Amino acid sequence: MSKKIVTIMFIFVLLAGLVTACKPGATATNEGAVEEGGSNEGAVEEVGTEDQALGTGTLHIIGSERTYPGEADAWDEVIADFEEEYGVTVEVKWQGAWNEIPQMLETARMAGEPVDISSAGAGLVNTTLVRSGIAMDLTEYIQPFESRFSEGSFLAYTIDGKVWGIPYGASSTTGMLYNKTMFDELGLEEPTTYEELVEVSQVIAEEKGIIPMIHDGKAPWFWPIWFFEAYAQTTGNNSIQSVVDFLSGNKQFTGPEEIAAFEKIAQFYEDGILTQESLDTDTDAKFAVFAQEQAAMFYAGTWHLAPVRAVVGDAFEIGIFEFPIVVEGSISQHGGGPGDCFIIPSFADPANYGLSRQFFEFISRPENATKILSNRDPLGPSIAAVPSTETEPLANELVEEFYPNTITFLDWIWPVEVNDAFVAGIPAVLSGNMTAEEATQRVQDALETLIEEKEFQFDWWSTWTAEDWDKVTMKNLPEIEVKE
Amino acid sequence: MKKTMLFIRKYGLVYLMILPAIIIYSIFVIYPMFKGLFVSFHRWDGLSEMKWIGLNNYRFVFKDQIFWNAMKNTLLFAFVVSIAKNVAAFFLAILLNRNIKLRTFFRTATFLPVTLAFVVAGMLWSWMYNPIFGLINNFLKLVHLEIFIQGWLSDPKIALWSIMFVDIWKWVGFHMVLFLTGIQAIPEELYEAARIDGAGRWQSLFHITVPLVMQVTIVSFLLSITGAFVSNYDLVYVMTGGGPFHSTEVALTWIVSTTTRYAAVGKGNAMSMIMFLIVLVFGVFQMYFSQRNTYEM
Repeated sequence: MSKKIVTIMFIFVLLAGLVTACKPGATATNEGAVEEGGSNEGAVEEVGTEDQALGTGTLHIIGSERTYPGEADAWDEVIADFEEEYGVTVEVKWQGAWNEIPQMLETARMAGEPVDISSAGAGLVNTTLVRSGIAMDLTEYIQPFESRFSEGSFLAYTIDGKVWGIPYGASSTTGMLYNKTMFDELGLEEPTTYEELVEVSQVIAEEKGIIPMIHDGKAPWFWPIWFFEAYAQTTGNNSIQSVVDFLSGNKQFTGPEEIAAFEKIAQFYEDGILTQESLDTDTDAKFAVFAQEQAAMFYAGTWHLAPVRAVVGDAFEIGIFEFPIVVEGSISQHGGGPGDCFIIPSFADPANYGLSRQFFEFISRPENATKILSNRDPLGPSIAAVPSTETEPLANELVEEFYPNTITFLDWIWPVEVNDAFVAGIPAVLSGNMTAEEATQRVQDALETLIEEKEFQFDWWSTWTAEDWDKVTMKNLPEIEVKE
Repeated sequence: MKKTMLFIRKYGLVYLMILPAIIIYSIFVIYPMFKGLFVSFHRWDGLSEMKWIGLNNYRFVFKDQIFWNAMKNTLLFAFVVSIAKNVAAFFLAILLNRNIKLRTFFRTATFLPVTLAFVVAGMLWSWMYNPIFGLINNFLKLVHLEIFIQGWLSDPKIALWSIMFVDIWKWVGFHMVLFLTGIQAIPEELYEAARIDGAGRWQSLFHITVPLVMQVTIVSFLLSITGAFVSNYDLVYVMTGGGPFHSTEVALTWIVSTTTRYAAVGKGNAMSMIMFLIVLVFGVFQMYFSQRNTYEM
């Protein structure tokens, strides 16, 4: 009998523990203690009545893992200063990769976890988060500190005249990095046309017996960037409008410009500039191949500069040239822009709009932005007062020659399903497993599937109801302190 | 009433003791399954409101060629690795049951990959398969067998086979241990009697060893095929991410992509339901045959 009683008690304790752990509103604090009912309610009364701008007194931020060395520490320092200056608490969670943000937001929303600010990427904001109604319209919200941002920074986050994201990082561009020491040794000049690139590649292959150009083909998201460059030229430098027309249903993606762009990329493989090795190389291996002088060139983003310099060291000098002219009469245009930003989720507590707005004012102050962004050694920082890199030898060339020819990455415009048709199509065309015509048809099919399955509409804003707009519009925005 | 009381008195404690397990199982398995079924009838991006679309997600899945190609790859993966693992493990067990030199070393070496995480094994082999630095292509170059050099993970015709090889390599040690246990349990007298009767090695193998390790074979095959159906995600994700051009896509990688990357949560759940039904059919067949075999033994 006593055994039965002990067993029943044991089961009761087990169930009680389970029920307590599953109870909604039970939140773990930093100290690991469990508090019931949410820890913010008391703070609303104490702080909120004293100063509306400070909201609940606790600001909740989620974001992807900070990847630049020293950046997380800089955030901690700036956040501590903010907490001290305004007498509030900031709870930050940096976790996961940038593309996991939609899942993180959804999980937080379903779990009732408060989120006032979330980091995001430009592609996600433009193709997913805004049209899903998960991001708030920030057009009015940013006004007190808008002038601190570099010219054009908000363009990547502006849809139909409304701003949806606050850029916080550096603007990027792309080009062909090469081993300048090897080029000099072989008496080679930077190629500007495709024909010159073929000649250069032949000399490298013959004289050095190495791969002329390596690409990290195992990093699928990097293939479409080749298309952005080629398509810019085959459309007569009108690629963005062409993509908008395609997504709006005003043109098919199976036309001569699209086919030509795929064929131009395939030509790199046929002419031996790119080789089969590129289909099975990841980013780390690409750096290793380049650093060990087993390849002389690779297509890179400005975000690749720091890591490649870390592995190359002083072994040889690095140069950069623009994507070659593959269509006579066109100019080379590169994908780029400020990719990192913050959004305000539509399920954020409205009582905290003032607090989050004050936070952005604080982190956009020159001294604070410099503390955080300087860890990226930025080329084109989104806060105008943050100094650009002084250590990157190619900085001037990039700013003066590449940035003026930089246009928005096309995958910040078209949805991920369409992008993945390029991801699969480009290496398939390159390796002869698919024709350019088939690849363009796949892209067209991807959009049509999207329209059928998700009722995709490019200009979603034209059909939103007043109720939809109401959910993403902030009301009675509190004034904040702006320090010059 | 009396019957009920008797039942409670007899089984009450038993049911009470398994209650926590039932609750946990219901919360983490049964409820999500029904929730998944419910979601599969909706259009939902995971962020905005769910919209009822009836059976449309299932219609979309039936039209999704990548999903069916992934299902085909899943079945191929499951059968090839299950058969290969068990055949290789059986012969390894026979070999390492003999008194050979360094037997313990070979047994340990064969089992060692089992202890590696899928991610580690995947990364390790990705580098081995690397076309520039990889051990395999460099070895082939060294021995002048350039003709066999391949894009092990970049050629769509062989990429899936390259991944299957890694799965076999990783698990063969585990199945070898199972077979070794079975073989060691066979009385030595049976082999002696067979030898006296003039049976050769192969005859002993097929008439004594194989029938007597049948129980182990069934368990081992069941474990491997169940595992191959539902645990191929990590290896494929790490080694190829489903590429090149979806040639190594398995059902799980495509379901995850559909649900998270494309935010088609309803369609992803419809795929999961279809896959559940397919695996269920195999599961029922397996159970039927294993039980029949068990009773016959």
